[in-house]
Amino acid sequence: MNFRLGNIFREVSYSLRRNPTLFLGTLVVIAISLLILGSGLVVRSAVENATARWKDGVEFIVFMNPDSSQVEIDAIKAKLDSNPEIIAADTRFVDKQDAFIEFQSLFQESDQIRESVTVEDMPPSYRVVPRNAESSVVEALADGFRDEPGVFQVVAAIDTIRAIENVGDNLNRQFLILGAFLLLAAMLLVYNTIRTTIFSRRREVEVMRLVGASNWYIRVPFMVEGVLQGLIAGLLTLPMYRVVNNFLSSLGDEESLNLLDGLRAPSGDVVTIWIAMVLLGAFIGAAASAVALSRYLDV
Amino acid sequence: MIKLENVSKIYKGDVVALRNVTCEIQKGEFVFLVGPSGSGKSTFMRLLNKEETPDSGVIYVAGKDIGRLSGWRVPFLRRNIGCIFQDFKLLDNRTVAQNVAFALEVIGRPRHVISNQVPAILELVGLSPKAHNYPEELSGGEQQRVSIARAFVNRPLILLADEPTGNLDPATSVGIMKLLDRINKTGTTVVMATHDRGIVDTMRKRVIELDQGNLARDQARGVYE
Ligand SMILES: Nc1ncnc2c1ncn2[C@@H]1O[C@H](COP(=O)(O)OP(=O)(O)O)[C@@H](O)[C@H]1O
Ligand SMILES: [Mg+2]
Repeated sequence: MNFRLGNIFREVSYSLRRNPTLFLGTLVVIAISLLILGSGLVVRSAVENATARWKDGVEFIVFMNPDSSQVEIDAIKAKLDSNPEIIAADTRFVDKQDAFIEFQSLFQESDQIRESVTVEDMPPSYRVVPRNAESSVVEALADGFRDEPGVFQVVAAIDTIRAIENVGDNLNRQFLILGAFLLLAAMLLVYNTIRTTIFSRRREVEVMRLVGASNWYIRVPFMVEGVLQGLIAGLLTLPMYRVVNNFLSSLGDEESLNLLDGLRAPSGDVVTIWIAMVLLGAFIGAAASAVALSRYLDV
Repeated sequence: MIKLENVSKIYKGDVVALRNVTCEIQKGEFVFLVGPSGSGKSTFMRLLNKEETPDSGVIYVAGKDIGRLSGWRVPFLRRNIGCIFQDFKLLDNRTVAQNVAFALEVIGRPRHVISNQVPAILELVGLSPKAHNYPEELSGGEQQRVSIARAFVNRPLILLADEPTGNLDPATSVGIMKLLDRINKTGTTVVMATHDRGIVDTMRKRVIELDQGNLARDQARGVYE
């Protein structure tokens, strides 16, 4: 078997020139479907990032002043431990060092914010797990700590954080369903472009078969065309994930310890999602052209 | 070189194209396949390069039972069999030289081999001056020469010609027959399907006649009828 790369690209550019609207239209539909699927994953990753502090039953957080004394910190611990409504064993103390690490990961996207703080600036906190997670109960419990000496702020997860999680889940599911449908449409389009290409090149294919070109030699240029469409479409989606991510983080208020802080997918996740979408695009292209080939190219 | 044993081919709709045909063609022979339209001549040829498979019977090409050939080996069978047709099957967007080179490119022949073989074969068919013309700039006879060059450039053992003069006037046909005769003299087995009584009667080669799919006559140094 002997494939000349030049030959393959000549075939692909030939089909692009023959029918640019079909080729480009297909490209756009694949890109949009990948984008929607990928955005669903970006939203999920952002929600996970934003709600990382609220895992394992944590319903409210008592932030201490960064300059609170050890006596004040211990007093809060005593008060938490003595309250039968609170599961003392699950309630966790996060010291300045851990808070700093958490902050760094929460705002890993904005160097400006990360560099503006030091370990000393960070408020230590208690992550409180109450026995009853009902919002009125949590609210009342949280209120009991607001006026204690050394306390900077008490933030309750109450309904807000759960709402974010719900919205995130729903959005994610809807994106996945919509994306899957569009992907199906994209496959039909790839199938059609390849069929058109096969048809427009039937004379060449006939001659190749007659003179004994191997099956793969005949097939590969068509496969490459489908795979390339998927690949290019996938590559095009990267800047769009950035846009989605920026929009999400603009919902939060980076100046305070807002509930929406860190509603942003870490860039590592974005790149992983992007690579997955590029591969998915290539796979879609390959699968659709394989089906078209098996139906219209009997070698 | 070619052997058919009790070969039958029935297309869908119960169209019997060949019925129980048995014959043998030796290496280096020149054979005419005659018979009215629809008698099974093209089917006979398509069975030889496995474009069709028989419904019963066994076909040997170059000593091999091609019914046992797995799919990926079929291209290698076809590299040993050149084909030409009434409608030439040239690629319009390629020059004469490129059309011939195409046959070598797609079976992975190295570039230097192609650049040697193509001019040599164009010389043989008498088309060197037209190497850089496009098919539409050629006469019918010249186009058929290009297609012969393409079929023969890989030096196949067998050349199948399905009514190669069907679209040509008698004078041009004579030139094509001389070319096929020369190719046959190099040791290539030639099987030619034709309607052309004049050609068959002047060449006096072996004649196999088909009639509604039956082998009706097999005659050495035969005539059309
Ligand atoms: N692909 C096909 N499908 C169905 N019937 C066919 C096909 N090819 C040929 N036939 C039928 O088989 C018979 C023989 O055809 P063919 O081999 O082309 O004869 P010839 O070349 O002698 O004219 C005819 O009746 C023709 O209609
Ligand atoms: Mg015929």
